[in-house]
Amino acid sequence: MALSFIALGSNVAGRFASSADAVEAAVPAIQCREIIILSRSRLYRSAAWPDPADPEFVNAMISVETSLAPDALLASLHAVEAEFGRERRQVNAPRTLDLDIVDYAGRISAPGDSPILPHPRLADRAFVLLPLAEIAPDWRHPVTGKAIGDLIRALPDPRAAVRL
Amino acid sequence: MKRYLRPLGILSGAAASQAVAAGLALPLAGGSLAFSLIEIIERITPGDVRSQIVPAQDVAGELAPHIGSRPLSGPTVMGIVNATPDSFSDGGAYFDPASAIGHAKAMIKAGAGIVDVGGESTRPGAAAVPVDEEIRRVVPVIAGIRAAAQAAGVTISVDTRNARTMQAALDAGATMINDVSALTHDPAALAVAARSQARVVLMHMQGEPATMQQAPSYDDVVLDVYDQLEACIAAAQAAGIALERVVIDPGIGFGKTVEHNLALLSHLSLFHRLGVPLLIGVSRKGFIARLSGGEPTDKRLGGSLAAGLAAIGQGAQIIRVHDVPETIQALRLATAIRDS
Repeated sequence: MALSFIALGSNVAGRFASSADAVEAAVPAIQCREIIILSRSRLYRSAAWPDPADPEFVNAMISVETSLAPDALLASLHAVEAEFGRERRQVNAPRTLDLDIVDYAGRISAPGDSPILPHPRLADRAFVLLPLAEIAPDWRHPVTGKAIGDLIRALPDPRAAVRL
Repeated sequence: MKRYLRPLGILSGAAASQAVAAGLALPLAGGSLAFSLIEIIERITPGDVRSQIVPAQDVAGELAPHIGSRPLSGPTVMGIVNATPDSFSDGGAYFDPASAIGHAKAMIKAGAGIVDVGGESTRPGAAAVPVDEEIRRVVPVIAGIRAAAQAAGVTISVDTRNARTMQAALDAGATMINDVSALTHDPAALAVAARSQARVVLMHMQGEPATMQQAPSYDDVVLDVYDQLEACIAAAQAAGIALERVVIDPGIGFGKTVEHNLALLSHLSLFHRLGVPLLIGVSRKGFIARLSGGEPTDKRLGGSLAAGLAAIGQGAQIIRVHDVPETIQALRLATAIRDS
């Protein structure tokens, strides 16, 4: 069994009342797929990127335990995204649900592997680091070994994500 | 830490109603059974599970879901109708719906409350069937029994993991969807089920039918299956499927060892807390042969009846079986003795 961290994000309500509801609904949808949820952060909000004129994102982080390999885990997460009405047409397009594997048991993927582990841009993102720190205060970046507190202090704007 | 409550000390017949009237027991899951004890099971951390047995009254405030009524008060027999080619006679090249229709009509006559039509085998090691072929198999069977089922007040269920097959079956007259993947195999399945008014059976399975029996593994099988079904119910509700439409099935034999199956069957009463009817499928499954003398599938009726009656004895509302007349005979006897 591998301990992994998965980032959840939504900036389109879709069939839900709000993006926050979509993120809340994603947690059981993930667990129904043999992915055991160990803990979850509270909800955060952050500006859309790269175009802040797009609707704001609601973000959260979960820690999970799974016997699925990283590619199978990602396939399951993509199936949940599809269930929530997101088609992977455009990078960074508004979406009802976006799920990313941030860290899979500290694994560092080989060049060309998919998914890329750990998530390549996790260290620049307040909406990843803040909820991650909430559920894994002792977490360290698998590649640099940096503590999560130090990564947060190095953010240009740690207020880029705030508790909802 | 998570807390689970397992009704024990199950009473039936006149003793059940007397004990309830005397305040010594509580009714179980809307049926005629009652329970007097509760096993409080606490999973402190994975691997650290503790339990103690107390009088049910001590935790009565928490027991509403165990007591409450279920829309499908049982026991109901669900007959299995295989709309799959008979591999013994014609090598699987051609499927004739006439024999499946005849089989289903005989089940309706014998007293089945539900007939479950499936065009894809989900036996361990079975290969997937193309969706178009699955639709070609199940739709003529459903259409062919629709009138007889309606006249007898029998529900037609479709056993499938594929959204297109679900839709085609609903259009042909099915009003129940039985999905071994709990609507996760096909990303469109949740939406099809939500748009319909059909009942939905959410089953627990570890892995995929082709490989699920290779190395099933759990922290605590009963609690793990419970947690996952609880999540599947929540996911279905979030998709717009009302709780009143949901049925759960712990999936005996689907990614489980003999010991896993026995643990689930002996702890079924715990699942009533999820607040929905409980469906159990044990008919002719491999664990019967492994606990007995290695009998082939058509020689497992004794074990199938014993396990089915044990499930009913814990308040299961639906049992899914191959041998409908024999199961109904066994149920009538068990009920008659219980209620005399």
